[in-house]
Amino acid sequence: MPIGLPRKLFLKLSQAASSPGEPNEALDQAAPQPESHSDENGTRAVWVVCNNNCGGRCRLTAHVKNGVVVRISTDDSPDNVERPQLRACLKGRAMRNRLYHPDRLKYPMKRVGARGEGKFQRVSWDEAIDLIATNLRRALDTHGPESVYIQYGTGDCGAVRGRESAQRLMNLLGGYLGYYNNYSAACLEYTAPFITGVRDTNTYQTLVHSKLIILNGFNPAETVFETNSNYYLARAKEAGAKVVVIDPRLSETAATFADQWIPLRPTTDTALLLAMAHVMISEGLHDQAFLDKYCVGFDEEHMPDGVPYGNSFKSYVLGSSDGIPKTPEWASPITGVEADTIRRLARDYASMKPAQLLQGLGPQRHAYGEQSVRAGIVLACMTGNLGRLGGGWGGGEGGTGLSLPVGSLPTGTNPVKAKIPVFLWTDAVVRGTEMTAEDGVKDGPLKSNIKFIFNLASNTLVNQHADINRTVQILEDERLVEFIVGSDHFLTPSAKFADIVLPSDHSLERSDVGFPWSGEKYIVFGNKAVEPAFERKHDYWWLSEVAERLGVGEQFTEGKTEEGWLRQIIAEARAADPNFPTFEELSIKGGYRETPQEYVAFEKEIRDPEKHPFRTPSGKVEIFCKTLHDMNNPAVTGIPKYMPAWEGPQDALRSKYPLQCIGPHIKRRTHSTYDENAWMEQAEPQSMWISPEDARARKIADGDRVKVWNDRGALVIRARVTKRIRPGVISIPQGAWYTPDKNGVCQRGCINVLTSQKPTPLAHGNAQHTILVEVRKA
Amino acid sequence: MADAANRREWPLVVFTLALQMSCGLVTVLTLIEAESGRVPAMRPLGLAAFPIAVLGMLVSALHLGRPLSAWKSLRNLGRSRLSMEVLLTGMFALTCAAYGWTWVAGLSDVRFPLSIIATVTGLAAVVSSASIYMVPTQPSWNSWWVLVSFVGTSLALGGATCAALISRTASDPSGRAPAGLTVAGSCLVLASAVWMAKNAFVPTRAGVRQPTVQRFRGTQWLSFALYVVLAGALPVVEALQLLTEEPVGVATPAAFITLAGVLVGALFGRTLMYSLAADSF
Amino acid sequence: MAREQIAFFIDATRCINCKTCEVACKDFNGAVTGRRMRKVRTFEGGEFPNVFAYSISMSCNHCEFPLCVTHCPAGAYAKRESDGIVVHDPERCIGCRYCTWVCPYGAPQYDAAEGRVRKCNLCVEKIDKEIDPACVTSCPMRAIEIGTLAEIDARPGATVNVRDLPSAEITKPSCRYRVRKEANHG
Repeated sequence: MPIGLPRKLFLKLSQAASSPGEPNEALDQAAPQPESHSDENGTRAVWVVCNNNCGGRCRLTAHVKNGVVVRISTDDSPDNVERPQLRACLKGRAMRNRLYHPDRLKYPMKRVGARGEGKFQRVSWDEAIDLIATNLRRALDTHGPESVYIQYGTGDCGAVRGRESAQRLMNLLGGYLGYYNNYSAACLEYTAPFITGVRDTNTYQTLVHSKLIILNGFNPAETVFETNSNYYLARAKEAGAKVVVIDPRLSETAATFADQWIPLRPTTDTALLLAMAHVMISEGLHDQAFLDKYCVGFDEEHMPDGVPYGNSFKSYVLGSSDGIPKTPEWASPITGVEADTIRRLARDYASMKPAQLLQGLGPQRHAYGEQSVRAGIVLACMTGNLGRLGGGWGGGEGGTGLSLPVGSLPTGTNPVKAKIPVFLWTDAVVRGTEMTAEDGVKDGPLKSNIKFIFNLASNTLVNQHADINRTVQILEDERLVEFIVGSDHFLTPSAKFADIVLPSDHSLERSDVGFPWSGEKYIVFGNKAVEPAFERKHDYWWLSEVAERLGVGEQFTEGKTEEGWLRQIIAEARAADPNFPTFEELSIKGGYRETPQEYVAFEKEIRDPEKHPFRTPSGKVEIFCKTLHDMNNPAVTGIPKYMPAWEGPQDALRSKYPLQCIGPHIKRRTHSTYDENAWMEQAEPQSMWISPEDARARKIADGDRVKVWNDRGALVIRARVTKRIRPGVISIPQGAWYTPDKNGVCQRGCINVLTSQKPTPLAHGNAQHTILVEVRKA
Repeated sequence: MADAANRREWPLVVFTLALQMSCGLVTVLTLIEAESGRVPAMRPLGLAAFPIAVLGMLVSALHLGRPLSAWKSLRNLGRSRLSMEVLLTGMFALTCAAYGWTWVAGLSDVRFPLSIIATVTGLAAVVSSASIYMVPTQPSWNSWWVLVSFVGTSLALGGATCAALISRTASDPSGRAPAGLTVAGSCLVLASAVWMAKNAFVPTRAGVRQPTVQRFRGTQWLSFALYVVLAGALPVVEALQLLTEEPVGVATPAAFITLAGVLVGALFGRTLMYSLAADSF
Repeated sequence: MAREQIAFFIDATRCINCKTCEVACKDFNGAVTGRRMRKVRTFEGGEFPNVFAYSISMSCNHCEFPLCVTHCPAGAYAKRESDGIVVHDPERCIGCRYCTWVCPYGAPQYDAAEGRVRKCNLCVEKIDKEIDPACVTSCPMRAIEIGTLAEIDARPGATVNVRDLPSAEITKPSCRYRVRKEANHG
């Protein structure tokens, strides 16, 4: 079947310039046209942006009549293989159901009950801002700037957001406690630079050149890593690539694209990859020349100075260092994958070139999540795929080495240097001053525990952080965190714990821009489609009022509104790149997009290693990383090693909690955003996958309400009995809103009542997929 | 969930049973008159057929999302079985009205011919009503058992009502016809019930190749048992008694129990039938 | 038979079951939450670990022998002569739901609050202006297309006999699929 876009019944479609209500100006075409135009029904069509925090960033059109968005459509610029449209997924198309949701916050409120109880009283903006200013002043005076924490959160994805606004404010007031890492890719982003100098990935346009594509826990069909990531996968497959998916679930990605599905046990990816390495080494399939030229630490002949004999990757894999050859027969009982399957995959990977190994973010959100990232890079080197078109290794989104020169609100410099790993913020509340470098604290020690929290457009305060029951216990104690400011569209489980809750405007209610996660060079411009209703405001606005109260108003705003800053950001991008359009042009065209390119990560380093060494201490790919080796931490190793996970398949705790539980991202939510949306609940109801075997053993039928629990908490959820998940594993989609009954059992199925706050050893990242549970009929 | 809501078809249960009872009544009255020419105590029943039919029609409109538009259901007469059912039921109600009028006005000359017309129209309405359910996309219904069940229920309901209210003795012809019809109707009900149960296990849905077996679940088994016992077995036993024992007085407890059994059983059976509608694909 | 029957082509080998078509359809056609005028259904088969799954996006199939047209007592359905689109006129609908019993595909969708059924009219208001319907322009995988039945029938892999779908013999749907081999029944 020839590859390409579908034929159109109506050839006129792409030129249907006169079709009412349909914006049709190509994103990149030069001809300007009015920002909006009316059809005979008086409906205005305006470009807006879908600014949820998934990897895609899509174009939407709001059809506005009498000040109300009456319909949403998507990109209708010309659609072709070179520049496929930026079509929104179901979430973008359900935007109206969020914008006009009856439960959206309307007015500022202050807490009147106990913290977390959910009792609030409407107050004026004036009173709310006074309360924030007073309490912030008191926290600064009593505990110092390190007591102020601006919570991680991704509910707002524009260029001028609450998070940066709050950082800007705090920097003017003496600083705040910073963090590093995020909840998505802590292990990947922290670890990859040790090995390859920087984290870089190919663009998905290169997939069409691959003969073999191995997707290791990578599930773009549900997570959307880039607006067109799945489109490029389909094209690659139709061009003849073999697709192998390694995932405990037959995810939608696996169901659609996989020629082969390898359902391994969660936490055992590294064992599988090591066994593949063993096959390649023992059968002489690896690319020795590539390893010799570009890598250190593969074998004993290429080790850094000062490391005793026997520490190379090859020695470990062959078992000469620890007596355990990492054969497929060794890996099989660990991973639950047949030895022959591993062997065949290794041979395929070593022989079908070029081949891409794409690792998703799931495998690294595990205990020892650092190791699978490292093992993946090693295999890409052993097969000589790194830096080659159609080959290479990818962790997460594509084209991370590319970007447009578009910034965000300047935050200034933080006088406070201390930083915590973001996942340990609850510890910084309880024992911040006692935390050390072993806890991942940089430039510590901390001078204060966290006493004041800005939680803006964030559900991380409660819902998305691990071990909700512990988090809630900490937050309920008003002697620990003294004041919490929250802003959101809804009274989320996190907003419920705020002392002041502020109603945020929506992306469609302001001028906004959106960027994809990937390096694909485009931005989507969102015009203000409608006025914010009730008393909804942009975070920047009330933060500037707080700044005014605290005497730094003028420095904070520099006389600009949030749109003023947006204009400045665009002007600066234009100064850096003359091709970049003006604010007005962006508004008319709905954004700016360069033609997507086939970008190959580390292409320069491979083509000309002399001139472009890897940005590591050795200038090579550090299969053996001396920096990590020298940390002298048994859990942080010089080479990637398999370590049986706590609460993994080999943990003795399985006698009490026999099932592994993972928390995949699913299509109906972006993290916890859209859990409120009834259209999404209909498209994909919150439910737990369980295999027929595990269900039968527990007398669970498809559709039954079941209780899932471990020592940390319990939840109730509907079971979906399906052959699409590995026996011994259940999956509970992350992001459902924590809804406890009076016994604290979550009735909505929020997985984080079960997850653990134990961080990974090197990155101090979240291992939220590593948990053991038991299930029974509710 | 949507399926469950769609299956709350009590207006249709009431409508079909009312239509069938009314049809059964005029049938049994016609038979009595044909056999004996005597009309003792037939008057109240002759008057009842019309209001029962009308009640059924009114209640059936409650099943509509737009009850006030019920008349529009006649718009597709050429093709739609449902339009035909509505038309025939309407005509039946009109003939029942005319038949009832003969009792009010004492027009004994036209009474018998009118009762024959009403019986024929009524049976036609019942048949067309059954045909509605016999569609390929509803495998549990798509067989003659629905027709047998509808006709059987008509006879059993009409017969049992008549037997309870006006039967004299088994030797009296006006008692024999109701008892006989009850037995015949209940036998048909029994046969159709077994047939329905078999069909409820049809392994495919509308030609779907993957088996999605429609089984009796939970309370459906109870409904089925009550249906078989009350609308099938009990009336047969009781009415056979009526045929053999003599003398049997008017409105004996046994006859009332039979009537109650047929009514309650039919109610369970009909509800069960609607619950067997295929899951919406 | 209509002169130029319009038909859907669904490339289920591309469909990632994202349900964007479902939501785009809902947004365009009245935004009633419970009503799924287009619905993506997922089917699974095989035995672990050789399990497969596939998804079929389906709305009204604008059948050659539409039972809804035949059976609707209110005459709310009509098959257009020009292109074979089966249109439903909600103004004529009385909410008897008989069409929901006779349609093999669950196309007519009843909403209790409105008291009426609605179903996919193939976005006729767009079609009549020669614009593709909402589902087609929404699909991130470009897996939904419309064309003439004759043209679509001729595409490689196009079939109407899919493992988990109702038999095409009942109504002769104007829809063709490309499905994975396990689901293709010729």
